[in-house]
Amino acid sequence: MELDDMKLAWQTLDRRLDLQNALNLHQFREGKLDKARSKLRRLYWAKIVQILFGDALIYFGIMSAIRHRDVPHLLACSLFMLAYGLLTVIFGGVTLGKIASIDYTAPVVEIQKRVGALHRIYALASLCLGLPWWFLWIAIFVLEMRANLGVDLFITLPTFIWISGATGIAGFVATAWYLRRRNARSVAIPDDTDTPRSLREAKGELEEIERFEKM
Amino acid sequence: MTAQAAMATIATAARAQFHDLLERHRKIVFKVANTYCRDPHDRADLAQEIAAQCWRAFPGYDAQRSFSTWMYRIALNVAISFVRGAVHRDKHSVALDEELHDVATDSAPESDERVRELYRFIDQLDALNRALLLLYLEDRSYREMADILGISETNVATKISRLKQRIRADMAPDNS
Repeated sequence: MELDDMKLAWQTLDRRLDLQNALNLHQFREGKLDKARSKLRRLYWAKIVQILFGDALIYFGIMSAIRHRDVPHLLACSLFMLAYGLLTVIFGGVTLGKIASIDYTAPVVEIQKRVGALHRIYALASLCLGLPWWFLWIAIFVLEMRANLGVDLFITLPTFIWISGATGIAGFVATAWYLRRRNARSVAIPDDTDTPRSLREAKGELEEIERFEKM
Repeated sequence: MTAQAAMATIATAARAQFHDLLERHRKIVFKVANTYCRDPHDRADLAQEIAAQCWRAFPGYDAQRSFSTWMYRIALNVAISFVRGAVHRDKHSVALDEELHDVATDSAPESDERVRELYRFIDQLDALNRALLLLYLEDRSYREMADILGISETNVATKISRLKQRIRADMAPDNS
């Protein structure tokens, strides 16, 4: 079979498709197009919520840092929350920027590069914003207890801090180990097993586009 | 006529114009969906997503330019992004036999065999080469393919030539 023979097969498909799909366009009428929501649109709103959440963390982090500027361990918790809030806003903003740069009417290679970059930043953000939660919840809980009940857990219940910290370290290590193990099992993109799979997939997409661009 | 009523009239006219163009070029939607999705439900979702994206982009469409080129760009961009989505990644790797239920109706056995081979070959290609093959099979000029894909005409010619070689190698009697 040659490429031109494939054209004959394509024409056969063309006739069948026309019959099979003659009625399908009805669903695009009666205003249904306006209601359809793309995945990018959903991601866009998810990032808006993420940025608002990050803003709230920054606000509470700053307020708390000012209030506890003379208590080193509470100041450290506040700065941790502030830093995480900043990271959340930055990743949310960068992702929104990437989404805004995707115009599906532009040439395929150009847009697929942008989509690949979006996948990469999304995968990186998931990792950078997910792992710190093993420790962030402790900082938030400590600051909340101090603000609402006037209890400084570092002083009144240091065992809780030690146990929570140890659990956080164990959880962090276990998550990292799980990600590594899952990557090692993945045969789809076998290189660079230390990189999380989602990131490697995004990298794979971009490499595929680069290969296509080259003569 | 109030400003609101005038806006509504313009919106209705735009919608009618879009539906007319979509009706005339609907095969683009279905062919792209068919090239990238094997599962009928995914295919329907993709077709709807393509039509929805076209409708969203329609206000920016320049009537001086070819509607089919504009539509191919959107359809291919949406389709490639759709199949690369992590949620759908696994669902698309359907056994080839499932596809045959779809294509093996009302047709001569010889053309069925050709269609099967065509699908088998398409399934081996990566997303971008699928786009190139689809445009070639649609008899688009090298210039239009270059415009849609965003690569040079020379690059299109080189890639088509490589596709031909690959087909010859894949479809050789020893490999079938």
